[in-house]
Amino acid sequence: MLEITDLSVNYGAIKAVKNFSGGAKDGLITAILGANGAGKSSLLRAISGLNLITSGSIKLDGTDITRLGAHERSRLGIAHAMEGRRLFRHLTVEENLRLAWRFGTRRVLLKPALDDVYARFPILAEKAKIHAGLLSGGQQQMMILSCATIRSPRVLLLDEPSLGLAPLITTQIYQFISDFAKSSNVAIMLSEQMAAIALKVSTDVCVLRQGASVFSGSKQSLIEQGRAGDLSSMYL
Amino acid sequence: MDFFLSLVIAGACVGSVYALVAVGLNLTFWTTKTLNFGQGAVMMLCAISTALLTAQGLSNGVAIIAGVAIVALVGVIVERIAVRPALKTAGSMGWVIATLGFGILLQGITSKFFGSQAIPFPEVLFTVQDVIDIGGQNISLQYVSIFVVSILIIVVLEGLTRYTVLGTAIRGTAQDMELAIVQGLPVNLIVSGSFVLSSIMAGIAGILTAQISGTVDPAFGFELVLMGFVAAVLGGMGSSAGALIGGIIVGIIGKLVGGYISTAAEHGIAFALLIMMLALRPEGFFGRAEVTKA
Amino acid sequence: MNAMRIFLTKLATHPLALLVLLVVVFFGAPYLRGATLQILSFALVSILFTQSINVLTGMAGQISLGHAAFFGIGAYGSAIIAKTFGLNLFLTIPIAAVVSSLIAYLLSYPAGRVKEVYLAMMTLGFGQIFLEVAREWTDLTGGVMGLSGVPSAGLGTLIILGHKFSTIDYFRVLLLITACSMIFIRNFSQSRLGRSLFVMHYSELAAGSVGIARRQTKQLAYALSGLLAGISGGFYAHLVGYLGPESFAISRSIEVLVVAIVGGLWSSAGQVISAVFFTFLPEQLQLFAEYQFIAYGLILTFTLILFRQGIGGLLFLPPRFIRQTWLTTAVEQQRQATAANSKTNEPQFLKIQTVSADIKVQEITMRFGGLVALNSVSLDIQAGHITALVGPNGSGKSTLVNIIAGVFPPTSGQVFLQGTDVTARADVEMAKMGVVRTFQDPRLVPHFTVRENIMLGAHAMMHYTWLEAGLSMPRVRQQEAQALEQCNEILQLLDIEAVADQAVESLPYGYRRMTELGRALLARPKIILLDEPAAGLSDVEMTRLAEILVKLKHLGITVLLIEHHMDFLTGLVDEVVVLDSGSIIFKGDMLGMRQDPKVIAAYLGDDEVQHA
Repeated sequence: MLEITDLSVNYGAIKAVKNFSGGAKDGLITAILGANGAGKSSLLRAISGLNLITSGSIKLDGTDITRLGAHERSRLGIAHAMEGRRLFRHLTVEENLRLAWRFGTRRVLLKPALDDVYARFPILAEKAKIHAGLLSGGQQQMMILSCATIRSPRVLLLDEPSLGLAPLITTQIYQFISDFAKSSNVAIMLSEQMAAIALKVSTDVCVLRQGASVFSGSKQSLIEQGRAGDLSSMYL
Repeated sequence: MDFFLSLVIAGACVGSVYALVAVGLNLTFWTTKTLNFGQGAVMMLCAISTALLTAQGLSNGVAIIAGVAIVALVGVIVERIAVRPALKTAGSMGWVIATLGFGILLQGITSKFFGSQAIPFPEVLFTVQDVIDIGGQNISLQYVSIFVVSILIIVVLEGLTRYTVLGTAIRGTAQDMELAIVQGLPVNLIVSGSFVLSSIMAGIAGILTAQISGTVDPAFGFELVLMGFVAAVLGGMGSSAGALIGGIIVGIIGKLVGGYISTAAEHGIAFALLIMMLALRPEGFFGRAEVTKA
Repeated sequence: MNAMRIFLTKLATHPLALLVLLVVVFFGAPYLRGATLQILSFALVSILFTQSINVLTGMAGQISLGHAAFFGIGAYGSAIIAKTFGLNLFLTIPIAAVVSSLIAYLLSYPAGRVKEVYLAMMTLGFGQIFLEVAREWTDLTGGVMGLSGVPSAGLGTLIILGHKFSTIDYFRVLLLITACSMIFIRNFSQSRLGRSLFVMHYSELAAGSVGIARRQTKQLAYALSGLLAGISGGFYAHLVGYLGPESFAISRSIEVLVVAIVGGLWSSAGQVISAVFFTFLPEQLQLFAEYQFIAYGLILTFTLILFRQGIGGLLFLPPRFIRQTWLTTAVEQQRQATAANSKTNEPQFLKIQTVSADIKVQEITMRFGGLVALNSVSLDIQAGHITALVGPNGSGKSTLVNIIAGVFPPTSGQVFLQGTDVTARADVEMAKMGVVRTFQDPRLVPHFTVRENIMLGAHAMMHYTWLEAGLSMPRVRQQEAQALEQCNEILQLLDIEAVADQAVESLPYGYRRMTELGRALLARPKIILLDEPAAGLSDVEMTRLAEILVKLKHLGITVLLIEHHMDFLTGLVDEVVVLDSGSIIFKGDMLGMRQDPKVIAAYLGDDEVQHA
């Protein structure tokens, strides 16, 4: 479980995230929505430790991790799939997966973990020895997600997983994310610009605008309050 | 023809040592986009330590190990006090001057405490007299052995980087350090490690070269590291195969020029090659085109 | 501490104080012991040589680890010409210096293209080549045995036009040359060319965006540096009378770096002190000579990290890159003119006199490898309007602006500026044609003041040469004064006049944004391209920015901005263009954009969100 209280992230004078409170519950998905520049990536990067936190706190399963560096947070089980489909392009698919596994919590052995991944995404088995940079966008995203899940994390942070992908692949990926949440009981926080698909799988929603939260609550309440139609004004 | 062949063989052998230096430089370039401009002093320190320790009575093997251990430590120190702080505060060229300065410091300290005289270097591998017959030529076994040792080390390093997890981690860190951090790779350790390995390779290169020249003095190593630069640039910064080929080419051309034109031009021609390469094809033979500015 | 700095700076820059110093040293020379005179002569040579590093490394940020080569070309060059043709040093030194300058100019060709580390290697290699040539080309240089018989005052062999030069005469000549060189360099550093050297180091893109030609600027730095090193080498040769190749080995290159760094990389005053100090030290302190290498090693390793500013930073105020007297006059004049006209804060020199510029983009496609960033985009950016470019991440906004600004050409398609095809033109050309841009994060020279940074924008508007700059010719003063007046108008427009003479690195972000905008404006744009100008600004600052953009529109300037901040754009823009995945999906006003289903779908996903 991830709890964030009053988090602010500044880059010098730029207030990227302003007093954000929220979190993610085990086995469930929280969606962070907003247009570009809203602060979604800055938020996730602050959680994984890549960005410095100006004020506020982050708790992982009750433990305060605000002072820890990215490396330690990673060791504690925070997995972050960064925006822009970041991967080691000159390493093969299998090398990417091995590396991710090796420096994760290693609760599962490598071979069964790899088999799992290949069973779920057979195309990755096919391309196991190919350099990751040569895969298509959808295949890369499958690999990136698998790298995150193969670490047996406690918290999974996904930054715009659907960016640049065709609808069919997006559905496939979201199916995977949804299944994974249920089966592993991992707390997932994902940021998306495309609200529709994110809302389908999430239980809680936060909408960011210029770094501040303009809605925070359950998806249910978003709909009940009739604010689903307001989303576009929250963005634009 | 004999003369030509002997030059080529000698060139290939010294070239392999240049390649060894180049591969070492590549390592830190991968992980930090920096390299140690004072690497010559590292080579010198290893060779001088070895020479001094054998003079004290230690066996060759132990002395070499001690020498290598010393420069491995130097590698850690260089990264910690010259490279890391310079990258943070001194702009894009600070580390060049800082590492150069550190090398000068090492050289100065060595001169001060051990004098600037040349010290004889023990015959570690074979003796000057040992020769082997290759294609009718009498080739010094010392030359051959340095060739073999260099190639061996380079091959072992390639194997490590390709087939072990640590090697994969190094390659990953080189490609995207932020991604490596967020995936929990021990990036600090990897960076330190790359400097340690780089220094070890430089140290061994120093020993191999001292083997041939027979003596070591505090100014030793300066030209050798420049040759390593040339080999690295010719082959393409970051490519081990390139470093090997680059080194051998530089070695052979150097020896040929030295033999047919003038011994003094042996090194000079290498620098001319460097300038030409940077003017015409900065990414070298095998490098990726990230040398030129956007 | 600061009071001392102010005092020392006043002293060091006061013309009268410097004149007195010069006169005292000049006429006091005969009263010095011979040995002291000789050391002082060496110190002067060192000062000159260090200035060559000041120009290349301090100002232009280009590293050189082999500068002894240029020193050596000057030395050997002058000596050889003197011995071979019997010419005197007033001819041989300039000739040798020009040769050195030419070779430096040639060296700058590959240097311009490669990254700094390769540059460092190259200079190292070049230094070695020179050393080897000096050692081996015995016929020319005397080889390892050296070149003796160089006409020298110390040996009594320096005879010029019948007059036998004593060591005192030589010292005086050297003193005058050094003094003149220092003045020349100071004038140069306070000119547009001097300032442009600095911006090359910090951001080449920023330089291009205001019309500063990158290659020429680097070549100038190298050539000038080579010239100075050559002159100093020439004087060295005729001081010592004998040249050995080992005097031009790596230790010489290292020594001059040490002197420059300890003095403070772009502080001439600090470098003078440092040069004198390091010349005297080995003489006075035998201990130092023993520990010299260690000392140099320590200095090089730690100074840039721990003591960046060097002696110059310690003792003096930061040097300024605008001539203070011209500045004071210009500001006075501009203020009077403004008061007399009592106009609004709209710099009239920015007013578009003829017709506002429009840009037409026709079927622009941009591919990066397999990725299509822009897909046959066509767009008319209306003259004199404020147009916003919005869209989700990866939609191609930055790419489009980069293409219009000339940062790179499109894969296919055309760009027209007021009807002229400008598709293949580079950013420097586009800037000169009036298309100026700002960047997502302000790329300024950190230690320059707001005013100095903005003055960079006027670079392409002024036309004097480096020689005129160094000699401080009248037209330099005229052009600088005009630029300074216009600069002041812009400072008033942006309401940052109060901080005009503070270093930007000490100012909050909002001011840096404005400074960058000011720089773009001083380049007299017909069209200004702003990349996320509102990012990081407070509400107050955003309101101010919006007011300024409206004023620009009144002046007839066309404004195109990339923004995410929708509120900022409301009420400001005439038209908004929405890009998604490389194609335009909407053109119209803000209200229409907010309600357009395609735009909503692009941002939110399909309209199932309404029924989730």
